[in-house]
Amino acid sequence: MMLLSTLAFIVIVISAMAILVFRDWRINTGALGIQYLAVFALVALSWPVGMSVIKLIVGWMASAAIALSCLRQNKPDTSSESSASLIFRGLVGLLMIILIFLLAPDLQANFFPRLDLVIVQSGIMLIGMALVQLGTTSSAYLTIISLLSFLAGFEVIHAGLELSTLLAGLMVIVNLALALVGVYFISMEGELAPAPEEEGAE
Amino acid sequence: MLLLLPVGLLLIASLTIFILDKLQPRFGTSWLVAAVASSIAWVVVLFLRLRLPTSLPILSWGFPGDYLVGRLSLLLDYDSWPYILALTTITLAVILSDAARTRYDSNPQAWSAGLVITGFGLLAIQSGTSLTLMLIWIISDLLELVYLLRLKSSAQHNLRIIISYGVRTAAILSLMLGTSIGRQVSGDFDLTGIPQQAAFLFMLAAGLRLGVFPLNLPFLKEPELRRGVGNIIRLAPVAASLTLLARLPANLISPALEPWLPLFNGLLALAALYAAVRWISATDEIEGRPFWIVAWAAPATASVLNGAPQASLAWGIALLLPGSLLFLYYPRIQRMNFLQYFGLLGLMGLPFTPLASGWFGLVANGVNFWSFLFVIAHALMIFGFLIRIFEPGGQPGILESWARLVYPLGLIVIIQALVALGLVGWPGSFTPGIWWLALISTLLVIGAVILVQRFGINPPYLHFPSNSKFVKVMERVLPLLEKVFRLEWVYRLGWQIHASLSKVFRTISAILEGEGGLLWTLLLLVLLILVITGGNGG
Amino acid sequence: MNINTPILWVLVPIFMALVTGTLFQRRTLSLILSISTALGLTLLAIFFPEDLTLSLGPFTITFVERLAFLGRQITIVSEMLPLVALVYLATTLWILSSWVTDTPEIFRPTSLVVSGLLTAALGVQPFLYAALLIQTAILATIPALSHTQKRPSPGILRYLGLQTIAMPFILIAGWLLTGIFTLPPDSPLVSQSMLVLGLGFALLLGVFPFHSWVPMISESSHPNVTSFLLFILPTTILTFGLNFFDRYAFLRTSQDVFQVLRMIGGLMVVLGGIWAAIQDDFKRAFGFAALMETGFSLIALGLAIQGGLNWLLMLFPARAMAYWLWGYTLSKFEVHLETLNLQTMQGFARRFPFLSLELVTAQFSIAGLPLLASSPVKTALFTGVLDVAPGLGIWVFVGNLGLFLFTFKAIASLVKPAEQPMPQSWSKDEKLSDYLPALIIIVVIILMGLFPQIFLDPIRTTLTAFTQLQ
Repeated sequence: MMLLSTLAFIVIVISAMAILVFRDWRINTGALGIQYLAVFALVALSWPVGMSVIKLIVGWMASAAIALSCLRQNKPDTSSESSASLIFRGLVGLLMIILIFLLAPDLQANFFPRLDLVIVQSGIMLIGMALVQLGTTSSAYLTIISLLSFLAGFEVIHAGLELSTLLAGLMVIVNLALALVGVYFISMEGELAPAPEEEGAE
Repeated sequence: MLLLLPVGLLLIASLTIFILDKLQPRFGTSWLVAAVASSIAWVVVLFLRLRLPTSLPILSWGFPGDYLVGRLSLLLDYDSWPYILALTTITLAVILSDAARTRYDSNPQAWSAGLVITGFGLLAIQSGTSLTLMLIWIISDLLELVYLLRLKSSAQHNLRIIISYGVRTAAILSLMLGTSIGRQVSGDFDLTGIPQQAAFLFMLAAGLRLGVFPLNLPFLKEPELRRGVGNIIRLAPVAASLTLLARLPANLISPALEPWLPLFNGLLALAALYAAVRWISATDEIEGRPFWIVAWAAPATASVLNGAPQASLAWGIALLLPGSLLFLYYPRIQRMNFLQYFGLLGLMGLPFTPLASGWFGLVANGVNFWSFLFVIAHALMIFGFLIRIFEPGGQPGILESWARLVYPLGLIVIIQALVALGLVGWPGSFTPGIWWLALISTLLVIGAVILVQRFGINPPYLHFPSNSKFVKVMERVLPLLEKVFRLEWVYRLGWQIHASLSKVFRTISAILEGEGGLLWTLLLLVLLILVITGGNGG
Repeated sequence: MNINTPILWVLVPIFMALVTGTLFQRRTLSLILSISTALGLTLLAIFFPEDLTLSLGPFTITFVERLAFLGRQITIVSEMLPLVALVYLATTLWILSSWVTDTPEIFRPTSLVVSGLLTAALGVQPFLYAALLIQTAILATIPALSHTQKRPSPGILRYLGLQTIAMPFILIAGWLLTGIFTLPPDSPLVSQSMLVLGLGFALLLGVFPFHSWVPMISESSHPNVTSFLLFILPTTILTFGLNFFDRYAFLRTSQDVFQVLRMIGGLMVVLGGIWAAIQDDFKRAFGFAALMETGFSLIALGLAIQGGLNWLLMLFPARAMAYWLWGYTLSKFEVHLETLNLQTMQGFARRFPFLSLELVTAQFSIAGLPLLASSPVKTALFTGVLDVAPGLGIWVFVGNLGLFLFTFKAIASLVKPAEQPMPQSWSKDEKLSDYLPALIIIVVIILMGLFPQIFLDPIRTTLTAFTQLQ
């Protein structure tokens, strides 16, 4: 269990950094999907597997919806972004990781003494990285991904506090609704993007 | 219900005239309706003197637990009866004297408007609670705003209308704050029991609307508001504010404000002096009317500050009635000039004249330098009145035959009211007053007339020639003084503060709403938490 | 026959929203369905039988106040119905105005969904789950807010972000609070719990510094939609907040809590007033006025011991009318102009006098000018806060002047004649159908100001739903 939770934590850190640093929707949605796997693993430590798998399914549905919308809208490649901004975001992410490592033990002791430190660290990590992502982006789909990560972080922590079917059900609705909003935003932006030139057009 | 009878008569008459004018315009019929209604209203008001004090509750919110407190009521007592008599007299005088101005600005639409304004004015004067007064002020301000904006005017003129409206609304807000403070101190109260803690704000409200405290004259040029109904439009709001002054408690100045009393008196005295000088230098009485109002309102306000609010009644009546006698005297008829001397008598302040009781207000806190400034201002006002009286008039032939009877009757009505108020207006109205102050003022006036004659200026035109040194100096000095006293520099300063604040807050907005805004917000949040937890943790 | 009240006031509007959303191309039908749903629910809430039984000929309908849902309950008690009636009355008014303004079609189903979800939020047990229902309602508003835009505006993203962040704070706070009954009042966990709860509500209500989304949304979205949102969300959130005071004695007896509420409310009024005063844009000014109103509500909450909860509730109907009026008139102006600022609207009153008068009246009503709807309650609030904290009371009064200042600037701009050789005269380019609905609302606003005991008193009975707060 300890190994699983540690592994999940590492996956969360890597995926959160990937979402923060890179702006390519393929990487972002892929990392989000992997993130939900880690979330599922952590939630399963507190909840029955049957309830925990709902988180995974909903998370993957949300990731898939966003990925498909981006694919359909042919979101432009952002590889032209300067390396300076990548490095900057990476450094900010590192700073946030260090901060969370410093704060997590106190938070766990004061607020969540019943929870395992790894769970608290993971949840706070997701929340913190999502907030940094929110603060450094003005793009709609990245905002949605940040919020999904944020809510995932909260769910990791809250799962260890109480088990409620209604709460789980409402969180499903919220997550899916958020994903739908993301799809809506992406299609709005996509209507403005120039149509890609057909290769080999006559 | 008798309190509502004059109001009802005037409003019904106004509506009748309005409808008549739309359906079948008839000058004579409309005039007759207006004259009859205002005459009956005037008589009823006279009769009401025998029923003082009387009140009429209209509405009470009556929330259990006093969660919301509010009452609408009317009150007619010795503080308000003089003013309702003055206002109905002015209205009657306007209607009657308009018979002589058929070629100028008298018309049924104007009468209809005038009667409505008078009706609201009567309600405002008889307001028993601050809520009633605020409501009526709001309605009448709105009506006046709409009326003035509809006149063809320039952008500059429009701005002055808005500023004037803003100042009046500021007065209402001052009253609102005063009401809240008063209720906090002593629960629900009416205008006869204004708590001391709230009284200064009430006085500020009245002073703002009178344009005297602080001095503000945003609206001086009145191209369309000349004689007749223009007089009602200018004086009806003034009457309501004067009534409020009379209702203020004698102990208005709390110990905290007492050190400021000389300053307040000084500002009022300077305002009175300035207004008196402008009154004299105005080309005609209509141009001088705003200054006339300020010059008489200043000593009324000073009386309140000095702890003698009832003395303000005398100054207020001097503002309204003798002033109207002059303002409505157009066209001038040589044979009728003598009527103005009755007005002059009402202004002199000699023993047993209407203004005699007003002197008490200026010296209630002892005789001081400011009292003498007020006396000088008073003398200048009398002198200016004399200047107008001495101007020659035309022949009665310029009037229609029926107007030759009705026109002087309109002016006589004012004189009658002045006499009545001097005799039985309020307890203490018929008094010798402070004879030596009146004597000083009279001597100053006589001295001024002699001095002016020494310069070779004789009646009927007591004006310095336009090429004289004195006039040239005044032409340079007065505009400078006007800039100071008109408080435009206050508005400009306020606007600069507004512009500076705008820059700061727009920058903050741009930061918080910009791309990094969320991070800034989170930073502020963290700082806030640190401050709170740091404060708790020590 | 049994009918659960949550089915009526929660599920029916959501269902009808789905129906009208499907029928959006049949405009008239969708309009009729939306209005009749909202109006029907309003009337039912107003004339609801006290004995929970309704006889219609041979049929007897018994109302049950509870509905079990996924192991929990949604309860709509009869004491809550005055507020529910207000919510649906507001929805009716806004749907009606969407008919005559250029409001996006999606607004009608959205408003029904939002009303249903927020009504559920008022009655869900445990009440903590209301945070999720509120979040869902917020998500439902996104299409209506962004419909007129080519891309999602930064304001909408900010709004979504901050409101979503709020939800976990409320839930975590709720969990923290359940464990502190046995703790001494000076335990650090008590203050930490209150801090977390306070942050959650601060985010939801747009308390400074989390307020940035309000003017941003106001500026970028349709005025009718924004005004509805800025009315219905704070109203429900504040009522939801009362649950915490009802349940936790340490909250309702803590002087510190009330003092903090008053100070935060005062801060919002002052800052909102300054920001409103310096605005050039009418829509942004409305946003800041809404922030000021939230400040007044917090002050009322902070004066709970002095009877402030009554004032809190009585502000709602007055606010509904004024917000509707403001949103309606701005919607009408937006038809003629792309941007609504003091420069572009110069001289507008000379062509649209009635609409201009209505706009100014809305602003004055929110500011609390006597004769208008908010004034009785605002005066009582000033009296209350002056009694408890005179310095704060003066600041609040001064802050409130900011909206007056903006209104005077607006009047000066609206009546300014065009710079021509001849002065510009007045005309009337507006149609009766444009300004008549708003005129009716102005009459209602004036009647509210003159007879608050008739119009504002009924909503106070909502307090009886909170047993510890009467």
